[in-house]
Amino acid sequence: MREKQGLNELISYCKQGNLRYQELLYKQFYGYALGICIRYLNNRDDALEAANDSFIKVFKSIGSFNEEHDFKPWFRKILINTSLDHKRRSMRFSEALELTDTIPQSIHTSVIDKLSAQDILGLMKHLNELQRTVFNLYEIDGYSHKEISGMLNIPESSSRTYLTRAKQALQQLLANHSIYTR
Amino acid sequence: MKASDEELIAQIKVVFNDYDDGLSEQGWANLRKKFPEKENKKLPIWWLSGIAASLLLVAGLYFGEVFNTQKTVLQLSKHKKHEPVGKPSTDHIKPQNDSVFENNTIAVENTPITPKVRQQASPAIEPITIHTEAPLMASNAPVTVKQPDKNMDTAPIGETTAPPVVVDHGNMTATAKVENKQATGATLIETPKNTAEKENPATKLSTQEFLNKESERLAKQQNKNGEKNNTANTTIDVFTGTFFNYHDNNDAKLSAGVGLNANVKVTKNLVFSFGAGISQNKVSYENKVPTEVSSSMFSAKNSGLSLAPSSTVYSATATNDVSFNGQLLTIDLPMAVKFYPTKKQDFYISTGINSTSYLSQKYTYNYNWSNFMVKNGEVQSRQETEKRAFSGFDFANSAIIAIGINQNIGKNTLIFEPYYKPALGTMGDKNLRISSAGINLKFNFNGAKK
Repeated sequence: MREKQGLNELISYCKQGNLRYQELLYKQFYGYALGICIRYLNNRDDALEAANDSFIKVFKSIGSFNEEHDFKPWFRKILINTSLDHKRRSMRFSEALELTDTIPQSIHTSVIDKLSAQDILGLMKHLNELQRTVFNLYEIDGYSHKEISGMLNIPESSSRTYLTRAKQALQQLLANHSIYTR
Repeated sequence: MKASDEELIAQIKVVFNDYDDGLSEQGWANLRKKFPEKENKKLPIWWLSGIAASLLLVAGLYFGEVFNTQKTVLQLSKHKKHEPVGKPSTDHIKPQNDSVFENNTIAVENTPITPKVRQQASPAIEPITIHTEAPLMASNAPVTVKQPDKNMDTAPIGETTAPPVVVDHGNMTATAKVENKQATGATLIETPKNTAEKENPATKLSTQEFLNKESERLAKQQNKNGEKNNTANTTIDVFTGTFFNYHDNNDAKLSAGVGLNANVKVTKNLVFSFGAGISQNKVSYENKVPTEVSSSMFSAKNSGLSLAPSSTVYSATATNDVSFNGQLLTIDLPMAVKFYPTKKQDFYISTGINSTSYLSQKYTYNYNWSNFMVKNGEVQSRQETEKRAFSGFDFANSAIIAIGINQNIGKNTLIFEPYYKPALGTMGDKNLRISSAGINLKFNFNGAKK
């Protein structure tokens, strides 16, 4: 509650265009923003650019933000949309890779617990752009297939397919990873 | 879902929930390169073009005037050579022209004027009378005769009449007759009083030079007289304008325009002015978008409302969530009345209306919409751009209140015109309500004082 009050105070200063408080807001949510953008863009530099563009959008439109709502979900929307815009701009939605040859039945969970951000990004790199995007949107950020369909301009069925393939690919990659790390 | 999938997803959420790589300072420095957006300090191309055009115009008119003056003098000089000298005419001698020549000095030593001289010691002889028809425009124009040499004593005594010299300045010809019946000295030089005192040897001119000079001056004089007689005609203004558009407490945006005005004199102090101009109008609504603008936005077929799942649940406060930028390239049609309160007519007060047609319209708006049916009412941001060309006409959408300060440049006039245009109606497809204030730099041709 106290944290929310502090955040609201920060936001109210940002609404006045106070650069100092904008910097504070930036630094407070830098990790959060970068974490979301890097999942979609899989590249630190691109992610930072998308995150910064999102912050600029926030600073410009924060006047319309209603403090009664949570800031994070509002900001998350902006981050995801901006990341997708960056992705569209770079036209990196490529064809899916086929990684579904053999699917391991079970993976040692202790391996997953130890996955670092770099490990996960390394695994994600093996997915194609659409698989990774659908996986992120559906599994991590909680969008429905209908919404994903609208956001990526693909049929809902394709969204489901990409998700399935992404999961299969990740299972296989994790299996390989666990074998490698064991 | 497999347990491993859930584990993986949970791990991803944990890992990326705060992916702070410790470079936030660097990230902020990167962001500051783009934000806040610095105002473009370069002058807009319209403004630069306007200044350049004005300077060219002023320079062109200045040199044009100089060239024309020289040409007039040359033409008059040539014309004079073929003009018969000695054709007396007194038709055009008018008192009002006297002042024109009162300061002139004529040395007649080269003219065939022979003053009549008589010996003082000849009492039997009647006082000498000299009738000189000299090329004078005014009766008091000085005629200077050099001291006669000794041979003059032997000159025949009698009445001598000098051949008339005619100064012809277009339609003005003058002949002066000088009569002096005094003869008191041994040698009498008969000249009008006061003229000898005014003589300045340094400025002595030959007749031809004098005529040329006077022709030049008279030509100018005639031009001025002609201009004064032309006060009832129509004059043309070329103008460039720089102005700010604003609405309520939103940021004012710098805009510019160019155009032409025609001025028709109605009465001595009243001028009707109308014209056309092209201007670029920018407007930005960051803080408060007027209702008429937002309603126009959301009624557009591709705008925010259609993106919301249901129009009935669209947030009623949506208009507060909008930032809006508009760029309009317009044809302005101003109609105004100028009133000159002073006799000198060095400034005027103007009021009128301005109508607008649109060459192009570009609207960019960022807005947030929320719907409680979607994502628990989370606010979603969107940006859209609309463009249109050659559409719309708004009659009398702004009033004109202006003050013009005249500055004569040669025969033309440079006018500084600060103005204010309060919005009477809306502009463009999105019903923008724009008031503007700025300054026009006008160049008035023909230089007729209105």
